[in-house]
Amino acid sequence: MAPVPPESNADDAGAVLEFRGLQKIYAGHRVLRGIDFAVQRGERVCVLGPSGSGKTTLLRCTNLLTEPTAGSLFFKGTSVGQWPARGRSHVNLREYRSHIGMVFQHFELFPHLTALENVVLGPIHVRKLASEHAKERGYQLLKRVGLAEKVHAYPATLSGGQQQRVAIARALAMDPAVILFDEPTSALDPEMVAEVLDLMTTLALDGMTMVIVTHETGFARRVADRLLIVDDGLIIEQGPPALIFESPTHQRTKEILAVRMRD
Amino acid sequence: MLSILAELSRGAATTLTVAFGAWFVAASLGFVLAIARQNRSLLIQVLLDFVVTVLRSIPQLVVLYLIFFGLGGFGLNVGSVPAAILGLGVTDAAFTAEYYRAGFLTVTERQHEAGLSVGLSRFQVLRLIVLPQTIPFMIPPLLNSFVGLLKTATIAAAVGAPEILYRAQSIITRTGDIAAVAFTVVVVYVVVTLPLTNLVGRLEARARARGRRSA
Repeated sequence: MAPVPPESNADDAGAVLEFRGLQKIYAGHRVLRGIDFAVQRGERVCVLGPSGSGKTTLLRCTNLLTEPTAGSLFFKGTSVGQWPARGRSHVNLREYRSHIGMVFQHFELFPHLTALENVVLGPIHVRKLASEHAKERGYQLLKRVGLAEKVHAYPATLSGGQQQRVAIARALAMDPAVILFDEPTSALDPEMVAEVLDLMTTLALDGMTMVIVTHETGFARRVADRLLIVDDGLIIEQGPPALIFESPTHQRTKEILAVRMRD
Repeated sequence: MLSILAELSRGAATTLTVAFGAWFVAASLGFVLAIARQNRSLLIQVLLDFVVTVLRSIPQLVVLYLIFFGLGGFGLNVGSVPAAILGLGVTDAAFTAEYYRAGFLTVTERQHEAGLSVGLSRFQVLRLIVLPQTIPFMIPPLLNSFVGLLKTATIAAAVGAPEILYRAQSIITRTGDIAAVAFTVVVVYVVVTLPLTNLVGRLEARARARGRRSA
């Protein structure tokens, strides 16, 4: 089933996120070497590339867990920062991050909190929602990810797939403008990959704006509006999945996709 | 014999006061030190490193003398019990700070990042994510430090605090009955310390089990 491209109307105009000339240098090593990249509202972008190509760093620079070395970042048209000259703009970093959901490879649920408490932590302490209200919404979200009966379970008692679904609910609870997924299924046992990918597909169909770093080419092909192929710190190719899978222009893209198809 | 026991009990009460007071000072001051050492400013790092290193390298008796006699030199008269509480507490804080720091380190950077990415501040991450995960690991070393302080509290005798050893010495001088008095002191210590040591052991086992569960 081919994803329906988002309808373009005046409200949707403009990118949710935009990077221009993004570079990141770690200890002399240029991990990102100049990336221009924009995500439109309602768009699903899958980022594919070999290990160490800079995919994760790209996500981490986006919510500023990692400070870019060079480049400009815009959120809904407003400058978030310009490196190296001016650094971070006078945006409230916490406020900005609260609009950018993040789902980690290793879930990173808070082990001392129940599923529900994990989900409501941000709404209560960042959005300052009343506890009762936040819990009611949290419960609805856990129901939506299929974990209504695990509301009071601690992460350690949940399977990997369940933990990742709680992590997705935790991200959704903040009503983010976009959710970043950093290899969300790479740490899962094979039999649990499907439940997480299915949930992500549902989110995509609901119109969630998503940037997904993944090795799951089948998923990327089904769900993405656009693929980014990243290699050695550069976007070497991008476009609709059908086009890239059927007629990649870059020899390197063929190699990357071939390797991934085998997994 | 009964009057001896009564006198030693009063001494034991003073010992407990000194130990508990010092423990409270150490636990709070150590916590503040550990939090302050989370600060990224190099100046603060160097300064705190220096303070902690100095505190860890001077004998507690010297600190105790400094507070009791030193502050007296400035016209500040500190009673022997408060001086002992302060002296033992401050030196122990240097060690307690390290326990906290080791505890904080058990929470991975990725957990911090998960908190930050929700929009929490660094302080909220500490309060809502790091501390609650650290406290189960902190209780055994903190109890241990209390047991240690029960024993080091005897040096309060050096500034005339009427704790158990001080009383024992005065009874011995009076009656000459070294063996009986010493034996009673040992019994008092064992009775107080043994259950605590046992509790530490059980709590440590529980903390280890918890660590395994969340790994």
